[in-house]
Amino acid sequence: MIKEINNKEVNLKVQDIVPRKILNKMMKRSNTSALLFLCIHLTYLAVTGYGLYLAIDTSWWLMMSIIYGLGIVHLFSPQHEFSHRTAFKNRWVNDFFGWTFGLIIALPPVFFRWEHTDHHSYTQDIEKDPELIPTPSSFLTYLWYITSVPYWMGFFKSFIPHLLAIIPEKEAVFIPDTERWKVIWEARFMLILYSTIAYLSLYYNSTIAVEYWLLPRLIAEPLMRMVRYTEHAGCPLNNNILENTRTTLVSAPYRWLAWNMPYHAEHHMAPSLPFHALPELHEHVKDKLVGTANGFIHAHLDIIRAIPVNKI
Amino acid sequence: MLDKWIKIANIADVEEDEVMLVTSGNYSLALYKIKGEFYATDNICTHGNACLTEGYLDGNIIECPKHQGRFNVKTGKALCSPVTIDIKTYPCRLKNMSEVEVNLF
Repeated sequence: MIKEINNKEVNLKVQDIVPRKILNKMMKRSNTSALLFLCIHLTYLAVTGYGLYLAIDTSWWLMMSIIYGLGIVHLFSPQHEFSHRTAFKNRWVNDFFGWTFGLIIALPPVFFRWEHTDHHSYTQDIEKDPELIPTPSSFLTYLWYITSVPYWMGFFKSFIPHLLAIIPEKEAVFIPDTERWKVIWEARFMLILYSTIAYLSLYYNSTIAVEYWLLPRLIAEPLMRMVRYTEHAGCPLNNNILENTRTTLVSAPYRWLAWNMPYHAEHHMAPSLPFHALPELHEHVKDKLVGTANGFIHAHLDIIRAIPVNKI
Repeated sequence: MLDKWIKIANIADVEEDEVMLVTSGNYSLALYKIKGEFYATDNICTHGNACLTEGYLDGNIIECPKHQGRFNVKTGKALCSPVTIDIKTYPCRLKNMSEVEVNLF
């Protein structure tokens, strides 16, 4: 269904839908849940990584790289949760894993945290949301986004200035003065780290980093783009928490890999709510949500239907 | 002489280890009950435009939902980046063992 752009201000809050007492109980952080999901994710990587090892030099290599890469790119899910500091009870544990996974997927953790906060503040605000993925203007634009080329272009457009100690004007609105040195030095640290890995790979004539990290990371990114597309694209450009974000109902194994992030509308309703409580919040709000998709195909059909008819 | 103390809630309104939004005139306050004691602070974070009552209360620490800045709700002290300015606190007292009053002046 094509949704009309609606800029009407709706100051609805999750407390207007779910009693605060219930929210408070759901808000409790759980090391057990975080460790469980972490174990599931690392097990996925270990098993598919072993599969990739067996498939190297066979015709199964590409398929296993994609399957294993799916686990690599989905490290974004816990990294995102760590950036909210809602996974573990302890802040430094969240920050430690946030840093680790950020380095693996090349997502600068400090920069992402500030950018993402603004995304939550200005969700679907076409001028202010720094992570806004626009509804595609044509089917080609839709496919172009999925290639991940725009994503990597955006990455370097931000990363290179940071290396040069430049905070672009559009980022200066959400990165406080006191945090800018961290953004600059994390970019430099990442460059040093990746350069060292490249140097060591060449020195030892090793393909390990390429086969088990770089290629799977790059090959699977389009899958992550397809997932990220479903979170907001095609949803109304307003601040109504029931409309501007899409929850996609998916199978349990995928929810585990994505740390419940397909419950995305629920996450935006209550960013302080830990990932493990999102299914419970869904039960409280599901009847009020607009545009919940029954699976990724449904979600993508929603996005494609939102493309202006003469551009399909 | 003006009575500086204003009723803002009934004791039963707030559960243990919880925070509740209360308003009085132009004031928007966060009312906390921690180990049977009541505490009140401004509701709006001193850093970003966010309501502390939507945040995470862990012991006597309230974490802002927006940037995860933290305040000690008993003293109002800003505890970590990015918050640097303390949050204003208001004295609380119980009246007739059934009402919570706050001193806004």
